[in-house]
Amino acid sequence: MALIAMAAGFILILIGFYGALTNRNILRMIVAFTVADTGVNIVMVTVGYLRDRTAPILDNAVPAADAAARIIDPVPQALVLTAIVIGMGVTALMLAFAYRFYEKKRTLDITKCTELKW
Amino acid sequence: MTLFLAGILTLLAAGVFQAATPRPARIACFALLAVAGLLLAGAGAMTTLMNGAESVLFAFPFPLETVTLELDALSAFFVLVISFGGIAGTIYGAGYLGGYPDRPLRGHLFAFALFILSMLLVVTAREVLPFLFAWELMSLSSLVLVFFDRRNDEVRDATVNYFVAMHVAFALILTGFLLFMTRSGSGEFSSFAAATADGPFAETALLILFAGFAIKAGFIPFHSWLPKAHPAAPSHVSGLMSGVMIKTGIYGILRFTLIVGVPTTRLALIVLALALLSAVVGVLYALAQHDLKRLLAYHSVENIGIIGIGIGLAMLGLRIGNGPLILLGMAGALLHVLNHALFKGLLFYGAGAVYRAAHTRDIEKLGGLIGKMPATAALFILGSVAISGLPPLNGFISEFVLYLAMFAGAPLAAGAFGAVVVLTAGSLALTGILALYCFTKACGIVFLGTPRSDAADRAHDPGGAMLAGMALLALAILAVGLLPAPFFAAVATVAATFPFPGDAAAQAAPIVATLGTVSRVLVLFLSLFAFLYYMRSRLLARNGGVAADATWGCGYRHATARMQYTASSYVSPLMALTGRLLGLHTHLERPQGLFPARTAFRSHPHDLVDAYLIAPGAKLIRYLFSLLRWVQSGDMAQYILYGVLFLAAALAWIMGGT
Repeated sequence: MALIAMAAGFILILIGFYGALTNRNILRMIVAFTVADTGVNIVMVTVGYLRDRTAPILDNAVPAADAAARIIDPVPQALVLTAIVIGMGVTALMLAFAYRFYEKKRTLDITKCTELKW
Repeated sequence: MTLFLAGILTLLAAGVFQAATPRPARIACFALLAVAGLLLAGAGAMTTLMNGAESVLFAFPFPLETVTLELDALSAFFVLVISFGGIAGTIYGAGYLGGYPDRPLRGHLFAFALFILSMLLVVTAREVLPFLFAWELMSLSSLVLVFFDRRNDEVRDATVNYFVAMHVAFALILTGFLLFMTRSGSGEFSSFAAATADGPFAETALLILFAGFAIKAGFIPFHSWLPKAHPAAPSHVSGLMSGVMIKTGIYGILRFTLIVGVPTTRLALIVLALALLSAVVGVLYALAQHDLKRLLAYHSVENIGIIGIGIGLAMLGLRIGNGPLILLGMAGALLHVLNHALFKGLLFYGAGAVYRAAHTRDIEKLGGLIGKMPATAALFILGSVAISGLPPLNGFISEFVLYLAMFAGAPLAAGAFGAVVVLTAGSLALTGILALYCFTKACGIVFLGTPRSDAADRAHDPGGAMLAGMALLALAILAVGLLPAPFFAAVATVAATFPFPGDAAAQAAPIVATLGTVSRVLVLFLSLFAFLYYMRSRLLARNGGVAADATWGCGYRHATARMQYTASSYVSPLMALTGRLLGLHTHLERPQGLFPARTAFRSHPHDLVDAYLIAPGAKLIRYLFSLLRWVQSGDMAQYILYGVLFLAAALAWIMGGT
């Protein structure tokens, strides 16, 4: 199970990077980045997963005393939760840039963006 | 101290509240609060200065550590200079900014408040971190102020130059501090005295520190930013930068001389040599300039040199135990700090009024302004007399004190040092005469004769606020010039905080008496002059007045602007002598034939430091970066690849580590 998730994550990352590197359309690049983002998140959650253990929620079922032996590592989960939110912010920023770019240039072709190259 | 802190808070409030005030009242709101704050700060400093060398400590908690603000005699003196300069600058600036009704000015005024505030903090901070914080705040806020006319290419270049120069200075100061901290183990300035035991080490650290302060102060060869940034800034800012801000560099040198002392005689001689170079070469460069504000900027270099002469003499005095050199050299330097703030502010404000009226700073396009803007002309000429060191104004007083230092100190100094002091006196005299030459040029070409352009012909005096700011400085110039004794007594108190052999008060007393005599003579002279002038007008009026009529001129009615001396031709005899040394490029089309059709003479001043030090350095840096040009290909896919490669490398590094 973990192996499948890990493989899926890496495939998503590769698809994302492939899309970002080969496309000229900004919107397609943004979609590709979000795909890669999702892949990274899956990989991270998978890395933190330990076999035969339960979710890191401390209650009657999992008392705090033996929690260390029974739950999976909560740090990657918290990290991914943050990464999802940050990913949304980054996507919004990229879309805002794309919108401004389209307003200025009337095109979504990234190769038309040459102002910083002289 | 409470007054001083209240002043700082009021100044901060001025910066914040103006942003919330609607635009028509914004400048007035800012000016009122800022002037009130500066008055409070000045009053606080005055209290400290009055109560002798007593120092008040005020420590308050900061998230990381304690920040100590202290007002001792030296700090109080600089706070006074900053406050007074700031008040005049704010009043003048309120009028000057009135000419930009379509600019919101929120950011500009906020930066202006921060600028003055940070200068006040620089001279009162007593630990490394707060000092560097205030220092950087001062550089950055003045950077924002310089970058006022942002569509102008020249202004942009000057701003970048200023930015780089200030951060080179910052790096040097930081290095000096860190060197001292390796010996003292503490960020408190007072602990730096621990380095005194190791003379060569203290000398190296002080030299690095002083190089940083010298960039701020504008000593040659560290002055490159100064003649660019001062003309680029709007005039109320250039007046403050030149009159007040560069003095924080002087403050730094004085503060660390006070704490660490003068470890070697060589250090004193280096300071003195740089000061002499700045004074003489600065004024020679000023003579070659055609841009009014650039000319004034080079005079700042010259006057920093004069202040440096006083400091250098005092440092030499501290090494060889020569009382008059310490007391009078230091007092002369400090008095010149105050005087330069007064007359340079006035001159820059006058130049701003001229620029506002005629829309050019090129003195070859001005002329005849004494008739068009009489008030500005009178104030500018007053400032020129003061800066040239002529009696009865304040420039004379501080240079007089410096000469007294040298005349009293030279006989007591042994052998070679006596010769150094005499040489210094000669150079100071040379500087004085060249400054006078330069200001006859500036005043003569700008204000006398007939206008050389239509814009100069339509010029008129500025409004009340600008004139009020200038008049305030003019009054202070007259006060220091005519009543020098109390001002000298005040700076002598500050100078006496340096380790002094013998009784400082007893040594200062005869000088105070001398200055009292000088003051009576000057007042008498002025009264006599006023009386004669009055009698002349009376007598002329009795004979039916003076009628102005056209001169019988063999056919032509009056001289045209083309027949007048130009600024270049006025100084060309001297430039023929020194121009080659200064990198002056001249271009002359000689008159030819019996009826010459057209002749022309043009001169372009080039700064040698710029040409041989800054430009090659900048070129080298540009070349090194051009080696990396291929990184920026313009291909987006390649940039993304950089990111992927970086992530892969980082991952591999972490994996390899575990």
